[in-house]
Amino acid sequence: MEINKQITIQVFDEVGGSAAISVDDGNAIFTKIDHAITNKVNVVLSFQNIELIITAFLNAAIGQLYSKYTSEELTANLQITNVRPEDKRLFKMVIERAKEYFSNSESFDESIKTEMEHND
Amino acid sequence: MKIVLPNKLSSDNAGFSFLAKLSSQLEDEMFQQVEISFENNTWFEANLCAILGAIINRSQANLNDFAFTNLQSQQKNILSRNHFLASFGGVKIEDGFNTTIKYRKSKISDEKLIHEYLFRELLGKDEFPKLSLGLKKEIERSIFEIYSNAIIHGGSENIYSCGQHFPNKVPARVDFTIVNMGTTIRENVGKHLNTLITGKEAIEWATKERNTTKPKTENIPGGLGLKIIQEFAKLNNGKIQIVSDNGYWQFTPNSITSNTIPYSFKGTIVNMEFNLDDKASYHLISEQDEEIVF
Repeated sequence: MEINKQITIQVFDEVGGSAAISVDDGNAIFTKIDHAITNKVNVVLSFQNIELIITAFLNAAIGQLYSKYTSEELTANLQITNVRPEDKRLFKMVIERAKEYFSNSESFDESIKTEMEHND
Repeated sequence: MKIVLPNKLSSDNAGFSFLAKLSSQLEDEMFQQVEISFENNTWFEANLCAILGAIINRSQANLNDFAFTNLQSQQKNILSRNHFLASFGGVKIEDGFNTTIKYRKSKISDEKLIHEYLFRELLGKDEFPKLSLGLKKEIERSIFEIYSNAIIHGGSENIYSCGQHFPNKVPARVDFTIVNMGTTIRENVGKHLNTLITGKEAIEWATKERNTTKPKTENIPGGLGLKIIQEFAKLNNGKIQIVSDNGYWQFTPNSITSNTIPYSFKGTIVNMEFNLDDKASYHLISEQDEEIVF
């Protein structure tokens, strides 16, 4: 029997409606994507019928992936489809933020703290 | 114990400061009969019910009992139409004018019910002005970014919300207020940075892009929600106000101001004002066909 190398995750089904607003739902989707990629199965993440997305959901579902995978690995294993044009900028923001967060977040916080102490 | 509301209670520095003072006054009271009197009040912005309700609810946990007195008929009418009085033993009446967005105490686990509430009360109303789909979506997104912040960072059981539509103002506007009585921004940021910080400084830090108090161990980035809503408020010519502990912060398209208020509010208030006469499309053409690149 041929092994299926690709699965599709319907966000509409995962979140139980048209609003992707819950961090818990985002975490559950992250876990599914992670499980698939770990087992060398490609993922299509479809946002069909999703009418509302917030950054907290995307940080959990997508941003969190950068804690384990590189951009190259995600490009090779994950495809995001059916995103409404007006929502695309959110994905860009979340992806850029995640890359930055997992590269130098601690030094960034430290610099802010130092700056505040100098202002006292 | 008698609390007399001021002549005008609006969504501004004076209004928020009064409510912070009220919250502070009630903090150590127990077994009191508290009378909240409208005898001097001629203007009460009904979205502020979210704050008043949150303060009263917390004080009720100290076994204090509340009564509203000396309401003029117009005030009684609007606070009945938005179901605020109904939450404290009064009656609720139909909102024939459709200008209220109901007072609601939500459990933090009710995220999806909050979505339905918002649609029912605001964006799905037939009587609501014919806003473009793009504008409705951005309003909805802004509100949920704030709900989500309250859930993630507030750590309290309930979230209070209430709104008011001002169709006769120029421009027509909606004010929507969200309150949690949990951990303040000052506590969260102070703990995260491991430093002593004022309420004002804490809000200034939290509203800067990229800053988040989420623990690194969770592996979930943050620090975008408040950026998104500031971007939208700028385009929409709207307003955002945040009160937490003794900090007050306000964003308008022309300026960001912050200051220290005389009393500490042991929670966080976010008020958003949306301009409904906005005809912008919120559809960024240049981004329509771009791929999402990891």
